[in-house]
Amino acid sequence: MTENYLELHNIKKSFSDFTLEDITFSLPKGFIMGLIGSNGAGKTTTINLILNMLEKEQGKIEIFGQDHLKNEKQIKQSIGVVFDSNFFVDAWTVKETEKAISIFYDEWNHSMFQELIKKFELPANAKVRELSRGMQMKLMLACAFSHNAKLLILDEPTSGLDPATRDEFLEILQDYIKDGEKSVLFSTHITIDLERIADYITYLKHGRLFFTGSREQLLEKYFIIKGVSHELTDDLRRSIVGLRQTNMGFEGLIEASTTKQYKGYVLDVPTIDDIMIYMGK
Amino acid sequence: MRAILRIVKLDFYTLKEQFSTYWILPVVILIFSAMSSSIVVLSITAAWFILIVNTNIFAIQEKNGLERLYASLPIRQSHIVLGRYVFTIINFLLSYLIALVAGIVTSIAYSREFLMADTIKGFCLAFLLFSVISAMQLPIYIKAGYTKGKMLSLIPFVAVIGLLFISSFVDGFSSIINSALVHTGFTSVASLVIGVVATIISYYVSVQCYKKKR
Repeated sequence: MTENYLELHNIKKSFSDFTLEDITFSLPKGFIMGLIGSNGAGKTTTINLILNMLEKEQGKIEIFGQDHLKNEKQIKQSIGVVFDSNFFVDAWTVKETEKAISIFYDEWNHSMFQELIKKFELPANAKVRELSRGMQMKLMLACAFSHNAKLLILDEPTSGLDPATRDEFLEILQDYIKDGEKSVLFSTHITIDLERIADYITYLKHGRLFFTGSREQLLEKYFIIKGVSHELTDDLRRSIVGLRQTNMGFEGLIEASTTKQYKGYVLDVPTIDDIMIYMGK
Repeated sequence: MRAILRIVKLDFYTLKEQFSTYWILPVVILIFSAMSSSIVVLSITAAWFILIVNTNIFAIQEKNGLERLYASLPIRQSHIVLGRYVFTIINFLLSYLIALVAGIVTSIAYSREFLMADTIKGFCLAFLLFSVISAMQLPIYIKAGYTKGKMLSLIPFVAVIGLLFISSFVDGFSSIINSALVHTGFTSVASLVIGVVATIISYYVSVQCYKKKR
């Protein structure tokens, strides 16, 4: 049986202008899950609920098979978190950051931290405010890895990073889950990153769960259908999601299960980005 | 208990860069002390100073988004609040210690009499001032954060200053204060009790404010 490191069941949280509702998904041990959705879809709210920064109104969250509230302290010993921006005091040096954070973890490994800051080329005496965004991300990762976190929760970590740093960041994550004992929940709207590393995708749309499953399942679920204008029948128009029409023709997203009826049309395999773009229309 | 001490330690690390401003305290205290100020005045001055600089932790917390750091750490939310209260009280005790040392040093240097009763009275009155003001300030900062809470947190200061100002004009107030100054033992114990009760109530209010933020 697959062991899930993270399980959300029917989670609900309401704000005056937004409701996150009926969110159910699970992340198995040893895999990377991409949490996607456009801005305001509920990705950060979901992460804040997992971390108990927000109080859920309904539902259940289990981490490592335990209730995330009842065993919060114990669970967080094995969770590493990286947000979209630095959350350490900017006056701390890299060395002082270790000093301040390490006291909270039973399994803090000083040699591993030393090794990681060397590997990530983080100057030990540099202040956090002097580090680039990419380096601040690496510092958060170094802290997460040094207490032997089994579940890494990343909230838009690659937004604002240059392509080379992003690539390096993704490599670090791939390396991290190599032993099959660790999992990553990775919220992002840069879906190209997920094409590379994600095993599972959870797609949120306007606060609702739109899809959760393997990346392949999502990509196999849809096709991009293309044709010239006169081929666009009323039936087809109704089946297409995010129809885009030009003088030359049309294109849009169509469910794979319906494509048998449209054999003469051009059918392309979409990317995650394509799915998000068409679904957002 | 270990968890609380870790949070206190984290708060001290957080304020690290601000500690340079703490040098003002011994300097001011020594000047006041050399000017023949009593240990009671020195203690109250130290408490007043700490009340002002203590708010810096909320400014740094807000600037660096430390709520996210706290959420990632293996700690209970109520412990974060309790840790902040312990941190605040430790700061007060350290400031009192500075006032006490300065008082002793200048007493020896100027061959002045040093009364133990004054030391206790100074501690109790400083604690009363400190705990009543911080009991009002802390829930405001915990609920509203530094930027929003800054103006509101001035209310306790204004209230205390206003009360002292009014007392000089109203006979009733003056007689209460005079009586309190005469009955030193009772005043000291009452100050301690009021301070402790105010702090405990404030802590529970702060925990509720912290929870409601979620």
